Amino acid sequence: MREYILRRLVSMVPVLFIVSLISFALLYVLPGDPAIAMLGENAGTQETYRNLRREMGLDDPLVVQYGRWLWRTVNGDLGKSIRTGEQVADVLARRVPTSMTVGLAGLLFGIVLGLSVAIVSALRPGSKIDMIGTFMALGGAALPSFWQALLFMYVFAVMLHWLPPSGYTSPLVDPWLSAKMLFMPAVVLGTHSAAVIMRQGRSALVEVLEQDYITTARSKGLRENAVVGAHALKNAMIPIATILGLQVGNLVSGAAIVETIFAIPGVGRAAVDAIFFRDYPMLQGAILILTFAAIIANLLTDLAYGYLDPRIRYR
Amino acid sequence: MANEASRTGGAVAVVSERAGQRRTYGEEEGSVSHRVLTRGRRFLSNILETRLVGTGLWILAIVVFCALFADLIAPYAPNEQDYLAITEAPTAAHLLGTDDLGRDVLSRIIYGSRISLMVGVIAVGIALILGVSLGLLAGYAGGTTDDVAMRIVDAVQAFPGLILALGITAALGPGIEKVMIAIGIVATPAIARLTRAQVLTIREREFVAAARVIGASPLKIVGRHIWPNVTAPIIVQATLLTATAILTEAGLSFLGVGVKPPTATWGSMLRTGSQYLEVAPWLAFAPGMAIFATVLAFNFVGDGLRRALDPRLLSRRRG
Amino acid sequence: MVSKTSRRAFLGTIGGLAVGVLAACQQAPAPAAKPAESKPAEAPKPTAAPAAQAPAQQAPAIVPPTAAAKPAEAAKPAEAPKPAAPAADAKPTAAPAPAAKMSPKRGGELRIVQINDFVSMDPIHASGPTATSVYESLFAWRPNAQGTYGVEPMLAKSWDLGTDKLVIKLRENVKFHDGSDFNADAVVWNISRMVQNPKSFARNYLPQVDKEKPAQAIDPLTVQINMTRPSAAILSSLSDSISNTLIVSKAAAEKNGEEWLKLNPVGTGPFKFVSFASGDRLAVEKNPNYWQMGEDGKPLPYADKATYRVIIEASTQFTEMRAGTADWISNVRGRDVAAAKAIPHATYIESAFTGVKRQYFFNAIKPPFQDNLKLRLAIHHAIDREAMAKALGAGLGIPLPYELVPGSIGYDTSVPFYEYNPDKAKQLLAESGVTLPFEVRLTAHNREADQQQAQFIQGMLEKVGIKINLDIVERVAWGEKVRINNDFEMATRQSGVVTDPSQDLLITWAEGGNSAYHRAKVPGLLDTLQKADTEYDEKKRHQLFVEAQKLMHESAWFGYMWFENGNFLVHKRIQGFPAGWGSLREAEWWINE
Repeated sequence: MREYILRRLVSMVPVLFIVSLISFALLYVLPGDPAIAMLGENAGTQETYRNLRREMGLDDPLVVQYGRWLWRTVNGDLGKSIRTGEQVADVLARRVPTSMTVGLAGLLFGIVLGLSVAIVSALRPGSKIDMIGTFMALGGAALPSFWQALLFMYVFAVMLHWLPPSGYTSPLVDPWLSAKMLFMPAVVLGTHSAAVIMRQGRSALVEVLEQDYITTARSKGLRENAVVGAHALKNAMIPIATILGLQVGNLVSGAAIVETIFAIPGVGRAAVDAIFFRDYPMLQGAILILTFAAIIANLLTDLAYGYLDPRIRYR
Repeated sequence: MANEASRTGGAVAVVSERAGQRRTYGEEEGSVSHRVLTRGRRFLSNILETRLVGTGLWILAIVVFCALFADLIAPYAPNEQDYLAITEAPTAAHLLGTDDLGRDVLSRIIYGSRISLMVGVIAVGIALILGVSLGLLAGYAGGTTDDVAMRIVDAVQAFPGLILALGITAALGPGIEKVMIAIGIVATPAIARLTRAQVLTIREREFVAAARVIGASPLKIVGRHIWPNVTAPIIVQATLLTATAILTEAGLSFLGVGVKPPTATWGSMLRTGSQYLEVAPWLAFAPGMAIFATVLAFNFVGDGLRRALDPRLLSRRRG
Repeated sequence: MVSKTSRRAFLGTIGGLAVGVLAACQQAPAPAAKPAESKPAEAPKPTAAPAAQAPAQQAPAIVPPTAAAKPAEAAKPAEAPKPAAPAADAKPTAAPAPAAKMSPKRGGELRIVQINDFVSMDPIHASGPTATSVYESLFAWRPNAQGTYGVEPMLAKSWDLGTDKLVIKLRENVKFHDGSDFNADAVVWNISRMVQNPKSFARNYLPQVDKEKPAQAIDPLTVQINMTRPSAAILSSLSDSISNTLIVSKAAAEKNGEEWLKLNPVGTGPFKFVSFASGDRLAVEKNPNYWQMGEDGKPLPYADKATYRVIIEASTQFTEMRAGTADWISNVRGRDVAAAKAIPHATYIESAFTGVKRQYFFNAIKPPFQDNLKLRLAIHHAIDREAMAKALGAGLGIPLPYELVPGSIGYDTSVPFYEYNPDKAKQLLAESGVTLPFEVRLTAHNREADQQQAQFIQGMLEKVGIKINLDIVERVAWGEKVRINNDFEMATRQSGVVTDPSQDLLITWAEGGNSAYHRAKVPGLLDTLQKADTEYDEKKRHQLFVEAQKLMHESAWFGYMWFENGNFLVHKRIQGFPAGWGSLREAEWWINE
């Protein structure tokens, strides 16, 4: 097992390397450069532009620029944001906990909603409840996230005045306010996960509940709760666990839109801004973090899978 | 092994080396008909699912119809501006109202169906071309080539999808085709893994080794053994991917890329419309409903296909 | 281990969450909880240079600028042109009318929301919003009692503008936040870096300053700025209407290096820097040693703190205002104006200062518009400004067939323009000699408003037989295509309003090199513009600008479409909001609660 984990961690390195190459290449293929981005629409002269370029090292060959970045990163220096001059590491250190909190909140919501609907539906398949539940869960994933976000904001913040429209506060600073601010983003982020979890959970549960050993447990006179809880869910969790890791990946990348609308200073938005501003160091840093998170989530999921299903053994 | 689950917004098609390990619990590998005919939850569940699939198919039929016959059924040209009728509520003349430039919303929705279907088709096409080639290469060649190819696939898969799509679309410039390419690239890893898994499973079978010994070309092996096993999951992926693609296009147009005005896409219509939520809600609700219904439909149908084309059935069917 | 999980646990969790949510819903969000600060960040312009302008509802007020009184009157009636706003219009529609004269209360936190992210805390590098309340300028751009705008003392106590130098006497006993003295030495250092630093954006606004020897200290409180030519615009360029010329602490730069300034603003202003998180917020607190006194005889500012929160999504910032969690937002879109006016706790104010001019231009050194005047004229006559202003401005727009806006010096309805005449357009098109149907590539930004406008243009030109291919690109790509690579045929742009036309016209019409756009060579135009800048007599200046506009019109390189008023929403609890040009003057705001 430990060997397996080690091997997976080691294989992460080439993946991260390739990812950094991809994002570097992406920025170069994009028209324009950070110097133009800095110039703004009306200001600046050709001379300013050329000076900026030279100072940013943009006139050096690509390989050199990438090499410079790689060398510094490997030595622990993620560089400075071209746009603001902040240390990339500082910016990320600030934004990662934010994104993680929002992502976890979304995942939590997705699990809770998805599983509850799955359980309810699986217990009464084909019924109206099943239909409504299925429709609700899947419907949530059938709307673009920005649309959901705007609708929620309109309903909860403008019409009802129940929740603050936007912003982020750490739960460690003010848990109550934090929860209020996290609610809408978590729901929007979580509905897509909820749909997947619900589908998977429902079909897994339905299958499991049909099994002979369930019938046996029932005929033994065990209470329904024990039956469902102890036996069915445990086994149904296995395929569900598989997708959870997947959902982290989706949460991570889908968060950019939620962060934009709810004015949450997260890593996803930082990456998007970095693309639009051609902020190479910032983008590289943000992408590395996001990718790292996705890979680790996958690893954890696989480990959980192996833990839950005694038949799976990792070499 | 790395998590082989495919990465699409829709349901998961878990096909991999682990596929063989994934069983129903405590169940015999009885025939499908045996399971289905058993009274009980599965049966009831299937009824609902069949109903959903049915609904989905109906919706898709409407969408396809709109796409094919847009020129005939749309009351106006999609880009025809009428300054005197800006942001008008639905009337007899304009059944779904007009947008901020005086264009008929209904016509734009109808024409938008073309784009929505095309996004799916082209994105899947690209994912297929790239993914199958990569998967074949990796699976067949094995060794270092396999490792390198799979690391690249891992990298693309681990890269935050929306941001990758954003970057590619921004790099390629405005235009819906660029969005399709971007989505196709993001979806490639799933197909690549699928293909590779099949290749690995098949490769070791004795008759293949035998076939190789007698000199049968790899192409024939691909055609006869690999391809048939791969098509079913790919079809499932295709339906689910179209659903994701429609949503992704909307997300990208919200972020400001991908749209080349005045092309009418549901996503860009929704983006513009959502800014008029209070003043002209029909501008957002029309494309919103179109997206909602179509994405749901593709998901229902995709789910149905996935169940029908269950890999367990397939592996039992093939030799 | 999952085995212990049961339905009960799940239902319990859901129940708990539901209770939590319901409880949350009972409380209205506390306004103080979310600091929402806004800065007058005008989206298009790197520097806030608003024009005094009557709101769109009234007829554009055209009042020829009058010379404002200057302390220490110099021989020359020097003065930057002041786009005069008639007294009545100094307070645009629905300005907060202070019913009774209340005395300012102290304390509280200002929550300002701005729609553009900060670029740099160092003013000369700020191509976007910066920490303007931490700094100050030499001059203040203020309306006088008659409502005419002009330069007034700020860090400069008095001055003498000549033809080759500007001598300024500085205010005494002013200190920077780090304790160092504000003196001639510091000012000389500031002016030098403004014009000599190769990446400085302030250079654009100080073309008349001698780059070799920009300034020198005559005595500890007197500075001489050396000019290469007379310039009427220099005073307004050094005023708080231009954020690039704010005064920075030299001592702070020497102690920590100039790079440090990009994240740590140190100035003489009413507020002191607390913290900055890019993409999130800027927090400042009051400067206890500020030199300016409030009505109660104690130092300004009245408020204790201010937070500037960045919210780039327009609907979100609007929602914040409605929820009451923001004190100031700007750039409310036309379609939301009705809803904005209906917010019970906010005041809606229109201001041309932060408005944008919407224009298009052709590529002067490449086909098809190079050498084809008739083709350009055809397009000019095909544009229906009225319809555009109405449809796109949604109540905030007025048609503007000229470069200069009403209220600006040089604005004159005698300047000719190309009227909307589609038949004439078709005829000119036929005469222009191009093969029909004619296709043109229009390069525009991917901002929502620009896209909308581009499609509108497309529709209009189609009616006269010109097919427009839209090339919608993001900001950086636009900059590269249009300005660096000259890879465009026709392009649209939006431009902010500046205090003095020479500030941007000299740049826009540069024949190459500078911010070059169309790179046209128009004989006599640059000379006329330069003469207008070096002329200190108001009437003559006005005539010269009129002359310049006539030349621009004849050359037909630029198309002037419409003008979109800027606006603000101010929470009713904020008193003392100036609704004027120049900086927001947050020092004078006080919270009435």
